[in-house]
Parts: sequence; C-alpha cells; structure tokens
Amino acid sequence: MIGRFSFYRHPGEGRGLSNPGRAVLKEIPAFAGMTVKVMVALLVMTTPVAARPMRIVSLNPCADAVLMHVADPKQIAAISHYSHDARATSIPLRQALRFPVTSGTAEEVLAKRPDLVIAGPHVALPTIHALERQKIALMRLDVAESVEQSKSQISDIAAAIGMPQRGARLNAAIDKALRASAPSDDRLMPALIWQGSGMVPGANTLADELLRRTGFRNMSSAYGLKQWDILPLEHLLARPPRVLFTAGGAAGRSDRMLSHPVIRRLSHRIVISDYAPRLLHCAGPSMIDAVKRLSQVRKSLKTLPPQHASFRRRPESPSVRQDQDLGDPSIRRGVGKKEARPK
Amino acid sequence: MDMTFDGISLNLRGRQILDAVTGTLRQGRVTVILGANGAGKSTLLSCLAGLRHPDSGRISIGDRDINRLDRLERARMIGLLPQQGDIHWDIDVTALVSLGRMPHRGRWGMSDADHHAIQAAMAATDCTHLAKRKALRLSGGEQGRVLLARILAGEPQWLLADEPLASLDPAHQLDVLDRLKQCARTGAGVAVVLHELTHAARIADDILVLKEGRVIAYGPRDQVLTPDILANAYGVEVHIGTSPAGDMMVVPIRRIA
Amino acid sequence: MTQLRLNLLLLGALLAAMLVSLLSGKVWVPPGDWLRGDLASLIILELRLPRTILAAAIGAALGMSGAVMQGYLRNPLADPGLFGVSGSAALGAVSSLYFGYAISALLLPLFALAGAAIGMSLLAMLAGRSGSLILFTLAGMILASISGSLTSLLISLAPTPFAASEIVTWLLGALTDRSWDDVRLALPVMAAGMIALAFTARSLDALTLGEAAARSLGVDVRRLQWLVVLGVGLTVGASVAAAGIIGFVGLIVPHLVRPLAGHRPSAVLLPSALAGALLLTLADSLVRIVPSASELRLGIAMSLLGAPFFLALLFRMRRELA
Repeated sequence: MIGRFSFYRHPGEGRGLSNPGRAVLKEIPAFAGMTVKVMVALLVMTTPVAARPMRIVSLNPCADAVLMHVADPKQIAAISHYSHDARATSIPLRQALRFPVTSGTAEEVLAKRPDLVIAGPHVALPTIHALERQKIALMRLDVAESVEQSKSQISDIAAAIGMPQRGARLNAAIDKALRASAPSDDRLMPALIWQGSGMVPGANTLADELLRRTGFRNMSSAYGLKQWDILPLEHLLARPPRVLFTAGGAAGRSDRMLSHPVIRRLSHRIVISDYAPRLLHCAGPSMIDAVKRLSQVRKSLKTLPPQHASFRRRPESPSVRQDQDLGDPSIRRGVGKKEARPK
Repeated sequence: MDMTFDGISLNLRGRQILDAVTGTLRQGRVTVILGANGAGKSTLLSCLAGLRHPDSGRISIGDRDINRLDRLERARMIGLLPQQGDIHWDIDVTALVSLGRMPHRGRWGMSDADHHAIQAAMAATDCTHLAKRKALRLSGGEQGRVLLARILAGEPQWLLADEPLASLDPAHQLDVLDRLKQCARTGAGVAVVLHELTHAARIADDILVLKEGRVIAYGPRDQVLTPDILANAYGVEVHIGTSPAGDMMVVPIRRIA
Repeated sequence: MTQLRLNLLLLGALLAAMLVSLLSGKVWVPPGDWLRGDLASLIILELRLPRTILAAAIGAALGMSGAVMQGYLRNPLADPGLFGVSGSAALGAVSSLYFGYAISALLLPLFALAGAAIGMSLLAMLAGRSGSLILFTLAGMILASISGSLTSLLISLAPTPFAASEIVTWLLGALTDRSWDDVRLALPVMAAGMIALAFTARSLDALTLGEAAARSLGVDVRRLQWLVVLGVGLTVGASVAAAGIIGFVGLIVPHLVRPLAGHRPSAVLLPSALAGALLLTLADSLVRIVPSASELRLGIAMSLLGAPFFLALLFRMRRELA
C-alpha cells in the first residue's frame, strides 16, 4: 500500500508532518552529528500507519546489509543491484542472490509496488522526484560518518520497517564488537588507511572513528589532509605511520604507489596490512568485521618492538566472517564470503 | 542613371589602398578596370558593391548614396562576382544559379519571373546541359560559367565582375566577354577587372587605370589604351595593332627597365 | 529522393522509434495496459512518455544546431559544442550540484540555462562586432576550455569521492526518470532556439558562395551571427539542462542526411532535426534495453556510436584520396 507521507532531507521541512512531530524533532539530541540529514523515524511513530511495510525496496547496498539483519525476508521486495555484484556488495553473495534487484530507475521501483523505499545519498535527483511525485514513502539516508550516526540509522530503519527490537539487537552486537576491539593499553598507534590510488579517509569519516576506537591514531589530520584526500608520498616519508592499511583493489595486486621503491626503504618502520575494501564501503554490520580486523592488527603490533619490525604483509585472517554473532535465527548462517588470500 | 564615385580613399593597416579615386560607371556601357597586381582593383570593386566602406568619398547611384540604401535594394541593383569562385557545398548547378535570385525572391518559393531569369542566365552562359550536375564535380571552366550564370540570374542593373575569365578556355573566355558586352547593350552598367589587355580592348567602352591606388587614366577605350599609359601602369612595352577582322590587339612585348 | 519524401520517411521512422521507446525499459508493459489507468499507465504516461518526447526534442534541437553550425562555418566537421555554450551550461549545472542547490527539481536546469546565457554573452563580447569566423571559433574554443577547466576544478574540489562521482555521472548525460516538469522547462527554450535557427536558412544557402558573394546578395552577416549564437545557445543550453552533455548528434546527423537532402544548407535543416530526433530516441531506447546492471549513460552511448562513424568517414576519405 502506498502511504501518503514521505521523508525528506531536512528535519521539519517536509510536507505532511504533524505539529507534534515537528515539536518532537526539535528535541533530538545533537548526537545525530553535525551532518544530520536523516529524518528521524519518530515521524513514523507519530503518524498513523497500519501494518509494518511488506514491500520494501532498497536502492542502497549499505541499507541492504542492514535489512538483511533487521528485516524479515518476506518484507523485502527488492534490493539494490550493487548487492549482486561481488565487488560492490556488503552482503554474502549467496544470500543476496535470493532477492530480486532493481537497477534504480523509477519505473522498476514502481513496478514492485513498494510501500517503503530506502535510498542512499547518491540516487539521481530525477529518480527521487519521480518517486516523490507518486507519493511513495521514501527514506533517504546519508553516508554515515560516525558509529553513532550509523547506529541511529539502524534504529531508524528498524523502526520504519516495524522491527525495532531487531535494530536494537544489531546495535547491541555492534557495541559488543566495539568493546571487544578496544585496545588494552593507552598507546595510540599512528596508522593510515590507504584506498586505491592514494585516497585516504580523514577526519569526520567513519574509518577515522573506527581507527580511534581500536587504538590507532589516524595520521591523515597530522598530514593536513581533508575529509577525503590524496596522500602525497612525501608526507608518508617525513612522518611514517606505524601501520599502513591498504584497501586497494583485489588482495595481492599491488598498488602503484605502494610499489614505489621508496616504500621498501621504510620497511623497517612500517607494517603494511591488508584491509578489505568492502569494510570501507558501508557502516552498519560491516563495522563489526572492520573493528575485528583492526583490533587483530593492533594486538599483533603490541608484541613487536618497533625497531625490530620487519617488512611484512599481513594477510587477512580467514576466520573473519560476515554474519557472526548476530543471533538472529531467521537469517541463515552462510559460509560467508572469504577474501581472496594474498600470495 | 550613372554610378558615380568621387574621391574614394581607403587606408587598410597603414597602407593607402585607394587614394581619391574618381570615376563614373555609365549604364549601357562596359568599363574595364586595369592595373598592376595590388593596384587596388578588387578593393575598388568591393567598395562599389557596398561591401567596404571607404574612409572618405561617396559612391552614389543617381543622387543616392549606395551605403545608405536598404541592403536588399542594393543587392537587387548591384551584383558582384568575386575573384575567388568559392563553392562550399556540392549543390546542384540549378540551385547554385538560383542563389542569384535571392534579393528578388519572396519569402517562399520562386515565381515564374525567377524561373525565367534562371533559365535565361543558364542559356546565356551555355550551362543548360549542366543543370542537374553537382557544382563541385564540374571542371574549373564550367564552374566559372555557372558562377557567372548566378550573377546574371539576378538581373542586376550594375554588374561588377572581378577577373571572371580565370579558369576558362579561350572559347569560353570569348563567350563570357561577349555576354558581358551583351549585358551592357541591354542596359546594365558593367565594370570588369581584367588582366588580358586584348580582352579589355574587345569589350571596353571606357577604361579606368589604377596604379598604387590612384587613377592614372580614365576615359574612352581608344584614349586610354596607349603605349605610354600602359607603360606607366604596368611597366611593360606594348604593341597595339589590329587583327585582319578589325579587332584591336594589345600585346605586351617586354619589360621596361 | 525529393525533399518531401525524405522528410516524410524520417518522420515515419521517428514515430516508430518513439513507439519503441515507449516499449523500452526493464519493466515490460504490454501495450494493451498502457491506458488502463493504474501502475502500468503510470509508468508509461509519467515516466516513459516525457522521456521519449524529451529525447526526440533534444535530438531534433541538436541535429538542427549541428546543421546550422556546419552551414555557418562552412565546415562539415563543426559541432554545436564548438561555441563553448555546452561547456558553460554544464558548468552552471555542476555548480548547482557542487554547492548543493540541486534540491529542487528546477534549480539544476535553471543553473544550466543561466550558464548557457552567460556563455553566449561572453561569446558575443569576445568575438566582438566583426563577423569574422576565425575570431568566433577562437572565442568559442576559449569559452569551452575555460568552462571545462572550471568544471574539472569543481570535481577535484568535491569533498568526498561520492560527490565527485555524482558530478561526473551527471556530466555523462542521461534521460533517466525525466518528468513532464523537465519537458515543460526545456521544450519552449528549444523551440525558441530552433525558430531562430530556422531563420538562418536562406543566409546559409548564400554563404555557399563565400562571404563576399553572400553579402552582395543582401545577407546581413551581423544579424546572421546573432541568430546563430542565439539559436545554438538556446538549443544546446536547454539540452544540457535536461540531459547533461550529449555529443555527436550535431556532428553525425547533418553528415548522414546531407547527401540525401542535396547538400544545400537550408535543405539539410529539417532532415537533420528529424534524423537527430530519430537517432537520440533510438539510442535512449537502446540504453534501456541493453542487458546491464544499470542503464548505460546516454552520453557514453552516443560517443560509442560516434567512434565508428568517424572511422567510416576516415575510410571513405582515404578511398577518395587514393
């Protein structure tokens, strides 16, 4: 059933909001972050809505991942086509293949007769407007730049689909993973995450916070880089980090910049570790795997005095799975997608 | 009515191209413009066609300044055949000749008068058999005749031609010259820039000689085509004679040091 | 083939192509359901029909602009993009994306049109009052290169890789999910532009003989220049506002129809419009039918079509010169 309300970017700006709804919005604590654009699902609770949505269409792979954990599979009418692409998916492929996909055009979405559409920040405007014109319930999510923002998105999604307790459960699992990954000492190891062709996540990104929580210091601010920036090798040489996480391309394929001869000179000072690119795409459930990986590297570093560290590549441990510890019997435990092992 | 130009001067990029050029194009007569390369002949024709504005001086038809005329009216009265026979697109010969009717045509389509003028022009230049051919596939000579047909189709009162014989064979050269003479006989005023002095002798009623932008001689043919004036204009010694049929011949012999 | 027959043929093909476009999409909607009044006709009437009309209109506008540009510059390799107006319109649109003004459905197209208007004024200022073609072409190239650099600058300054990718994706051109609002905005502007272009027809014919002869036939070259700038600016500006940058239509289509229409510049205008509409409608149908995860970008599809065209042109020229 197509509802008659929609969610917009800015709180309080949309049409169809009841006055009590607006008043409640003003009380939202600032933890939602400075880039709050997510419409709080309190709207859902103040507006009379019949049953929980049974035909959800998601256009965003990160939302797909959350839905896999909090939604009843029968509720999902379609997920995004990225989830069927092994390179872009944040869900185990075998699980994703059980759901139909749309390529994101309005007519495909409409053909599924959705009662809720979840879209990320980069859906083309004409598509958004086409859906809004048909008065379909539309939930727009921003890129989560902090753990709190991601958890609140999970709560919002869970509330919107009528499964708030599952959202709470996923958030609890995330908290548990964060606690388990917290470092045992106070030292903040200088570290850097290096995506393909030199892109480095800086301050105010999720990766930055995850590094901090697992005992690292993101060197990008020290280098003066912005939120997303390209790192010149000179900075790396002048003040080398302790750990360099490489998330470029398929594991085993060396990055052009990292094969630079000058990096070999630093081999006694820097540890280079693989970091699955998938962990950088989305927040949500991927954060659990991300902090596991980060803490694994952190713990291994504790045992090595810096001056004796040698150049080595640390392969990703095969024990990291995607859907562990979530305890939801309705989601079948798959084998999980293994990362390709480096040679 | 005559086209009179009085004191035409033009300075381009520091060079005085035309300097106080004065003369008259009379209707019904052919005026040939002679002069060495760079003497300013083409520039004078451009001014007479209204394409260039002289720095000083006045060009008038009757007592109307041609540069004050309505653009289309001027186009109807004066036709220019430029030296470069550009043809940019491979259009039908008939379409090309029809372009000459542009100043006369109404907004839509062509009238009988238009068609008649086009047919007459093509017949006069021996192009009728070329009607359906493509302009760029023609030989140089054929293109020359077709371009002349274009200007004839416009039935201008003043016909200005800049070296129209360039790529024509002798037979067609004579045809074009005779056609231009015929235009004058039927009432148009014709001004032609020519290089071949015998050709000039063949059709000229009046001759205007330019040297370095100035008029050094202007008058009826026989008064101007003299060895002295031509030596001054071109720096060559000429021999002037008569053919057995009585046509005047002017033959350059050698350079004068 | 006569003019009339050519135009009727193209019109018929265009109508068939528009039908194909209404049938194209990842969702199959059988023709019987089109007017049934529920979801199926929603898809057809609110999504596919405006898209089809927009594709035909943009194709016609770009085809006609290309024909006029080639006639005006007397150069069969001229393209409406040479004036730099598509670059400045794109810069306007990209600015609205960059500064976050693209919230309203109308703002991005309006910014694009503003960019086109600024581009046209700059062109007029740079080229000056002479009708010189070289000056004009240079002014257009300067404008195109400045807009291109500024657009690249905005892409490089984008705060996140996602924002950069959003801009780049828009630039590649697409008609996905356009609505009747887009049609209402773009169509009048394109129509005005095409009317201005239509008025150049006779002067373009006269230009076949070169500028001197044309002027002696009464052509007002200054007025012609304004009409060309206005016509190309409006048509290209509206096209970019609606769909991003779509190239090659203005270049390919006049070439294809010129031998059939008889080479006279004025005779090429209407067939170019019809053939351009046909080409773009077909291309837009193709990007929806091609089996790929998401729609192929329309600008890319046109570029892919353009490359073999140029190869064919090259081979033909080699054969003629050999």
